[in-house]
Amino acid sequence: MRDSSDRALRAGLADLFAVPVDQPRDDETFNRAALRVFAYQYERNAPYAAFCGRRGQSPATVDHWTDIPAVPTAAFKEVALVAGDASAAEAVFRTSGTTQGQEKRGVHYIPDLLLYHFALIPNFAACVLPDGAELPMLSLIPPGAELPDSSLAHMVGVVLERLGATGGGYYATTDAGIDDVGLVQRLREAAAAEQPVCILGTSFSFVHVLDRLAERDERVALPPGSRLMDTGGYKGRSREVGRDALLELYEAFLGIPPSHCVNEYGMTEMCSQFYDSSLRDHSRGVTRQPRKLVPPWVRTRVVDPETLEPVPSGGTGLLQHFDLANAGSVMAIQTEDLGIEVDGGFQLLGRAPGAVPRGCSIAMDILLEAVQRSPD
Amino acid sequence: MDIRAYHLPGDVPAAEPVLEQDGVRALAPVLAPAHARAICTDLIQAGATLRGMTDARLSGAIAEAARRLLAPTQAGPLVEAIAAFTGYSPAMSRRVLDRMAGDWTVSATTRLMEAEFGAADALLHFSPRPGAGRSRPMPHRLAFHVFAGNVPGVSVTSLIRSLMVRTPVLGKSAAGEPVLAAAFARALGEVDPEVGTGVAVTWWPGGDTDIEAAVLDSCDLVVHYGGAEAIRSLRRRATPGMPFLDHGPRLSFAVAGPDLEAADLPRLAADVAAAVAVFDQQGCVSPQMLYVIGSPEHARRVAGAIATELEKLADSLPRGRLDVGEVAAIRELRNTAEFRAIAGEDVELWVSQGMAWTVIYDGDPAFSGSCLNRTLFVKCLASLDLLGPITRPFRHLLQTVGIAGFSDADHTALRLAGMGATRVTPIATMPWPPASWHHDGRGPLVELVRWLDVEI
Repeated sequence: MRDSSDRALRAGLADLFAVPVDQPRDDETFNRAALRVFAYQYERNAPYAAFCGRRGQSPATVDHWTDIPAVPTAAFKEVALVAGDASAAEAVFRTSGTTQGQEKRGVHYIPDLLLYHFALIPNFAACVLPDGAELPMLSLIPPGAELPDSSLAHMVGVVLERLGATGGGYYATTDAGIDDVGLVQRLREAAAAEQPVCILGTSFSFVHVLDRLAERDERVALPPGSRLMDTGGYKGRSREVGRDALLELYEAFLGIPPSHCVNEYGMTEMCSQFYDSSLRDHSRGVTRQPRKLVPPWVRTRVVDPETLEPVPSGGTGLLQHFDLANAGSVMAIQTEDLGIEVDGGFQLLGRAPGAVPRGCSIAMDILLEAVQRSPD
Repeated sequence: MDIRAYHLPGDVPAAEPVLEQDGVRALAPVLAPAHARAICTDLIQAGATLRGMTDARLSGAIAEAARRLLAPTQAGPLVEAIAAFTGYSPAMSRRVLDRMAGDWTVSATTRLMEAEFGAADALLHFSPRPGAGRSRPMPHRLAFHVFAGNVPGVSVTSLIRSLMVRTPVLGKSAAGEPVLAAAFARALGEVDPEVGTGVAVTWWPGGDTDIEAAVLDSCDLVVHYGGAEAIRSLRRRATPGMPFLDHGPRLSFAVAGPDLEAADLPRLAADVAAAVAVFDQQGCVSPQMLYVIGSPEHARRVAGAIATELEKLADSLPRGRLDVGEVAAIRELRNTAEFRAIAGEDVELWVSQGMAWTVIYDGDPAFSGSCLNRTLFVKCLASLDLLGPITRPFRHLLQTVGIAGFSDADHTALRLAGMGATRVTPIATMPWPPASWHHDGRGPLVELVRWLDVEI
């Protein structure tokens, strides 16, 4: 995004990123911006234009953001979905792949990291630091320099740098894994100094730390105001822990109450993230089931898996996101994540399950396994 | 609607709803292991009567029971229940019932007995074996059959085969189709009570180790249709050395050969589409892909023609219910294909409105599994020989190959057998193997008996 139209687009979006996250939705403003972004992407992103063309859609036919064709996340594995020159992207993030092993990874080209940061910083601050706290940020995710493909590592790096108080740092490397001994020592220092901290990591990395603490029968009582942000599933790792059980463990072993545990839902294919409302609700005295909050520059719809039409309010369906921070790639994303729309956001139910074969019909994974096992 | 999902001898607890789907409740008693043991004992006793019966009496009772199932008062509720539990459309459920029941005739069972044993009533006497005395096929004391729900009617065929070899049978239905085998057993009991005492059918939650331990203790042959995990689980619990015939997951595909004329294309497309549509591809006999021997242009034309035919079938033989995982799998396959096409790869995609059917022409001949539910890959190869390396990794899973456009059927069949196929058939008949077929390459009846050799 370097020519004059890029700058104009970015300037137009900057206002939206400045809107406080709780402000009532202004659909007209969002729609104007979304249509501009759509036209911009249609012009510069040839695979996306082809995808729209196959559906008979173009900027000439679309006058509301809900009609902008949403690209399935699978597409990021097949083509470069970038508005402009992929080789000039400031960052290239890749999906981590799954337990299946050698499958293709999705690639998200980010022409302009500034938009990414525009979306990241105010949203994180609103949801994880709604009380304006300035805390040392302790990361269970290795530094971004070690994981240049990882959007999560990049995100955490930006948070540490821009929003963290002194005394933060990384407690994981790609070589040595999670430094749980160092982390626990740092947490004890924080407890002794009555200095609240914020810990950031994947759910799996937290489970690893909790398991180590349990093995050594250790507990840390972090000072009030301490919090954590966890993210993501387990992707076939050894141990899966349900959300409620995990929240109990956080409180028991780290002294962080459920109100201060914020789950993040993000995806490599999106520049914006979603956070639980838990801490923001707590700081404003609101009592309700936590939900994922949708920032003002994003719209999320819940659609029927078969028709991709919106489901009736309160119904379960696939999440479809329209993220203006994705102006440099593709804004409308069709996920395979199931969710339910609720007031002010959505409940995330997790990834749609794979097809379960009936009887003696054969499942694709059995066949793929046979192919992969074959020495030929 | 309530429907009986059991036919059991002796004193069993009162039936209650054990499964429910789309407003249909399947009724069966909740059995304790002691009930299962008593049922097995009754069946074993009935074996003595079965062993004296002629082929004619057995096949006559079977045919009459099948005829009664198809009577409108019976067939209506049965089709409704099959559709509810399997998720197949009512039209599909009706088609499958009619087609399967067509095989449960006197002539079909007679042909089967003669094909397998060389003569009628072979189980009633010894046959001379030149230079080696005499031999006689002996029934087992009790067989335990475990059914799958994906192809209704296979359960009944399985019961019939056991009866024809005079082996009493306890059938355990699948939650995916708990009604048809029980209805047949019951009709059989009405037609010929003595034959009926040789069959018991019911449903319990698969993997109930207490009940299944009681049954495994009493039976001396297991026949298991179903998924790999269910089969592994029961096999682990069976007495070591007990004959255990499994019909687990299998792969089938179709091949369009080099001798097709342009005029044959509409017929080919219609046959492939029908084979894909029947059972919504959930059968082990259903083609997951079509290999076209010829040029990419030819293969694309074939794919387009199949799409047209699948669209017609979407109306006349509608697809059944899909769960969210199945929808997601189809969507992912479509998405990947579409973006490979957009990326300039040799891929073309034909899709229905909604999720009725999907055809993907893929210039890459490498194996791509279908996610089923009327999702077909069409691939092209310069020659049939190139198929060998592609299918090699799953040669043990290969079952039916439907062919068209090969002038020398035997030669082609032998080449396909070398790749692992156990059945080669015209594409149109892929979903409908004859009653006497060697399912997964095995003898339909000879595997169900023990041979007694007398060398005196």
